[in-house]
Amino acid sequence: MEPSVPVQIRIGTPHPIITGCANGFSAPYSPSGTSPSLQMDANGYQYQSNACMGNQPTYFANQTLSNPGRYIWLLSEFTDDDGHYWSRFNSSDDTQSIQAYVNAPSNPAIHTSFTVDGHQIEAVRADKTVNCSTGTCNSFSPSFTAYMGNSSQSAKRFYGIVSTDSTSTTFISSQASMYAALDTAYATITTALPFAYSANPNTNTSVAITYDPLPVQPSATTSLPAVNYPFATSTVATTTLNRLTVATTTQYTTYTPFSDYTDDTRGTKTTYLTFNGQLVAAYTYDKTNLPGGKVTYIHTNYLGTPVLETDDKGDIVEMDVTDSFGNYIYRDQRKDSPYHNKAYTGHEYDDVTGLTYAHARYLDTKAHTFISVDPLLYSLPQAYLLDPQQMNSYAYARNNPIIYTDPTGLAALFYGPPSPFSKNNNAGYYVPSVSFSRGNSTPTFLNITNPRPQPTITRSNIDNLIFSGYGGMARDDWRAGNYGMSTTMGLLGFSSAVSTVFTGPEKMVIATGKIAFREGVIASDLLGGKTITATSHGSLRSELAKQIDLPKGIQMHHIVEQNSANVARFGEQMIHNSDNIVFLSRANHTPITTAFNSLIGPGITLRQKVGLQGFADQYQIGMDILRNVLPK
Amino acid sequence: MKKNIEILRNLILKRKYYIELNSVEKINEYSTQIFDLKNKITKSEAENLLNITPDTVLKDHLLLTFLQFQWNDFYKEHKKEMGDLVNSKEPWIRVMATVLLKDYD
Repeated sequence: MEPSVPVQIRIGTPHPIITGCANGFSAPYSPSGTSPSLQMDANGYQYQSNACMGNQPTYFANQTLSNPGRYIWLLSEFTDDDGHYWSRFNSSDDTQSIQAYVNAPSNPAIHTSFTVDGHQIEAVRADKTVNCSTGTCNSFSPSFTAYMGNSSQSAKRFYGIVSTDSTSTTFISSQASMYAALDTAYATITTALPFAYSANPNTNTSVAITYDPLPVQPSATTSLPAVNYPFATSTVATTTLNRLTVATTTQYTTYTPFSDYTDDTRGTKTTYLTFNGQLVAAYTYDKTNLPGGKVTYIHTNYLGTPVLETDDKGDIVEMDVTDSFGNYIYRDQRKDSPYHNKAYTGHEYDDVTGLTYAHARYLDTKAHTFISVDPLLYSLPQAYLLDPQQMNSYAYARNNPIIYTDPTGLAALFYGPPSPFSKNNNAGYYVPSVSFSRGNSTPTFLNITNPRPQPTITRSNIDNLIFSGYGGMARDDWRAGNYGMSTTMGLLGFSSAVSTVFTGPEKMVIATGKIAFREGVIASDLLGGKTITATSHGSLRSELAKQIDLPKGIQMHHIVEQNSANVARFGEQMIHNSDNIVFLSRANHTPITTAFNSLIGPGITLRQKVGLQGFADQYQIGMDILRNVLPK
Repeated sequence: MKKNIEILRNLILKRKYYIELNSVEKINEYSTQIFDLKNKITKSEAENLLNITPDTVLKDHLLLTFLQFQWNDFYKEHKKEMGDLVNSKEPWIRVMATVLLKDYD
């Protein structure tokens, strides 16, 4: 009786969701090198799965491969023009070449086929066995070049590599990490392994397949290998395909490293770097004086609107805050910033007109609409008139700028939820830091090394960070589907990523024109540095209430206590003063009260001990307590 | 008969419970009893108690108590741990430590 081996065939989408290892692959195998390799098991015969990348297919289908022998089989779904079933894989070093080319499809020893969910899978045996007895098979490098089928074939799907053992009926591997789905539409390969694919084997024109759908983001502490990119100042917007290697995952992403801008009035030149379409960094230098210059980084919110500019130490050098329609609420006026005109969702802002250039149209962010109708209205009237949100063809992003953008001025683009990136990163894409190395002679290089320095979050700038939406807007709410809440919070620039520094509602400007509280903020700070004094707590409270909107549950508290002894010692105007007022939730004030009433030593409470100090010391103690009590 | 250090530990545990309830009267009642034990335990006993206490929050309560005892030598030996009390998980401890540590600044 012929031995048989069940084979798992993966039928899935070309962009599977990564949730863990596929069935049958319990633990990732991490080879010592950067390239995963096939391995020999303890018996010296079977090949094991290499690095499990966890690509989950839609489902697995079990099939039987009869009389397989100890071979590597290539599973694909096509025939060539002559009706032949063939594939050929070569290893990168050609020392472990395996090939499969079947001219006689009737020979079951080298070819078999079966149907899975309407897909006819061809299993073609490699014509060269891997000689495990020599012990070399365990170093086989799966850096294949795959030549499959003919370009005239409409369906070209590669389902994987199966290694079999004729002495065993144990399923060995479908090489989950090698799972690939190639077709003319996608021309993608869902594997981290390097592959090359030739659409036409007759001409042997290899097309590099460089796509990795793994949404794995490196942590902020991940150290990436330095990659040098040729730096050609004369080349504008050269798109190159580069690679980041993170652990065993290789990510390919598109950089558009060089987009130059020369400012003749300042004699400077700026080179911009974009990453996945988003502006990342800028290198500004004196165009007549090489080398030199400095690099600054731009940090965007999840819609791509620049909110912060940092230097290479992470110190914030510029901040802009917009509402969700892009209207500036706060804007640093440092016009020499290379990002000064990079504005709402990455569009250019025109200082002169106050309009935002969105390519096909200008956007008036104050009015929340475009200033002209959508040009597509004339060519696609039905599409617009059937959508109530676009019947007004001046409307921006279907009047929902929280989940839509309009990158072209022609159509709203659903942006979707922000990606669940690291809290340490901003809501935009992860990007490495960039250093520009220039010399007086070519070549010079753009050196991409470690992660981009993140803004330094301090207590003094946290208000602005939260306010600016740094870290993404209401990301968790969004992911939970709370779009209504997201809309509200997004409009208010709520940031879930950094809101852990403070709890409770955030500082916000509300429709009434009043200023809402943020816990732990000093009243005078909320009033823009203006100090209000009063002769009693009640009158101070009523005066502040005219300008500040206190939500339910929020209390005004004195930093230096308003007891009779303090009033007598320091005067009413020192005590009942907006500089001496802080807003706290009951939850955070209760432990302070409890502690103040507690004995700190025999016969003396904390309140009594603090009350012995002068005004400045009491104030300092109060601020220190706030700093230590409010959640970090 | 229980050792004073064991009694102290139990009192601190009870006070910890009422701190979580923000019950000032009970807190001060147990604090008074705790202060009474200050001269009845040795610093080596306190040291041992700290060493066998794995619970971070309880350890914070022990450290705060010894801070309240104003044992300068003990503070010098545990300066780092006591300084970290301003970051304790228990807000009451953070407030108390903020003020008490001023005496050592």
